[in-house]
Amino acid sequence: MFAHPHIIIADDHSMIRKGIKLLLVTQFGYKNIYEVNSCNELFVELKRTPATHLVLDIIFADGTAMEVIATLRQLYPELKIMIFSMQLPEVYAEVFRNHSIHYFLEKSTNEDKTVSYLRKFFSDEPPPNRNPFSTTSKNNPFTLLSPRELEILHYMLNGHKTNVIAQNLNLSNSTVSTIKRRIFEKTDTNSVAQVLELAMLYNINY
Amino acid sequence: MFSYFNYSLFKSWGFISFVSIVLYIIAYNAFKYLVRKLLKRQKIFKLLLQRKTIEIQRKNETLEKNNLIQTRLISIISHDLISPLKFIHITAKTLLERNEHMPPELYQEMLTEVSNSSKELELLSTNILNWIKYQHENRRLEKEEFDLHEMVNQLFLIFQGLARQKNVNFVNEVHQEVVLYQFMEPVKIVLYNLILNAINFTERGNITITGGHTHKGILVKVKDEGLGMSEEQINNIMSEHFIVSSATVDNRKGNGLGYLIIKDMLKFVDARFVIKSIKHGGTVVSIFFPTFEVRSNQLQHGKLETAVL
Repeated sequence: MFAHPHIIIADDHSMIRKGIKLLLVTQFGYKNIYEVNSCNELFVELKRTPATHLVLDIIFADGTAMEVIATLRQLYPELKIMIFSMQLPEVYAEVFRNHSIHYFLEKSTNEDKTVSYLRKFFSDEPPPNRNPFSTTSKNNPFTLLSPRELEILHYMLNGHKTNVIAQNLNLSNSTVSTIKRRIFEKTDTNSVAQVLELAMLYNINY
Repeated sequence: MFSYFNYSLFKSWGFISFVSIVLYIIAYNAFKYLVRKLLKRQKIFKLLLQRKTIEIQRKNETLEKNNLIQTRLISIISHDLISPLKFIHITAKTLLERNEHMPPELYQEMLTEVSNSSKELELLSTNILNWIKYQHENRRLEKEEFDLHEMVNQLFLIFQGLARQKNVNFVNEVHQEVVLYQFMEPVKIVLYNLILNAINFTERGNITITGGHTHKGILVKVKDEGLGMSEEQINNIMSEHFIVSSATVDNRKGNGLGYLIIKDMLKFVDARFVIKSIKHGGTVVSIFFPTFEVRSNQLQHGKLETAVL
């Protein structure tokens, strides 16, 4: 276990950051804990402090973790990252596994399990195996989506038009259209409204 | 008899042809008249149908939009209500259990967060309720007279705690004699949201509400000295296709649900609004309640004697 880990908590809700911080202080006695609330601030903070651990949410006001994860890995290969999100691991964990991030905890996890998961993360133990018979739906159509598609899905659900998404993600309009079409195909939908309804049903937050 | 008929037919051939031409003309005109009448009726039906189709299309659009907002609200409830509540609980529980060993600064930091967050959640829940309440068509609301200055005072009281924390001052410059004849609750909800936005985007300074008569109605302005908005943000808010983005993210993206409700309510009370803002220089939202339209509305309801504006 690190004697003095430098921890950054990146989440857009201050209450959640403080709650995690309190757990880290009271349960593990850690002291160097920093909070950021956006992707931008995360990079500013990382430049300022030599962080060892990052507890990272997926959705922020200025983008998603999916967009910054590659850069993050490239700039800070030593940084240990744990995803802490509302999003379902069966849909989103793969995106981060591709960047060899193996810790993914749902925010809905109860307090005791949250603490024991955090303990494993900070002591470099492998994350516990996920229960394959969990209560989540096996038919969730969003599990079929690729990382790129999930990235676009976020903006689609937020009601952004194709050209705006393209601009935001530095893609061409036609690429975005193609990906959108594939999302419709994979989820068996015809319109954004239908995808929205499906997202609500299958607990995809946006 | 037969021969007579034959004979007379033969004899008045010209008369017969004359009669048949006249008959033909009459028949032709009658036919023409009927066709024209039918066409006219068809045209009326077509127009009616067109009008109905447009009406249905419009209703459909509203329904679709409401559906969209409803899905959005569900997402807001799960993302912005449930998980912060969960962490309020965890934090409060930890504070209770570990009371003695905790440095006082940490204790203070955590309690402050719990206090702020729970207030924010209260305001957000109120707003979600506001929106749901006015989504039904059967609004049996009636207009009434109320004192605008007094209403602003009451609203400022709700936000007093938040304002004090942020070094924000409230200034009520609504003229004392301004009595509005309007749907009271919707006007209140609009002002509630405008004040909430102003606070969320202001770190220090004044939030001023002015109100007074102009020659065509009543003009109310909510002015802050906060972060301000870009032209793009304003255009986005004013656009018909405006969709709410996430609700309370560290008070930075807080305007989504608020402006959606504001726009809905202003449409309801027949008022118009304009946003003027300078990035980092504050925002002024002006709302105009026209007097004339209110009067004509009252005329329709036979309530002219109560027109007080």
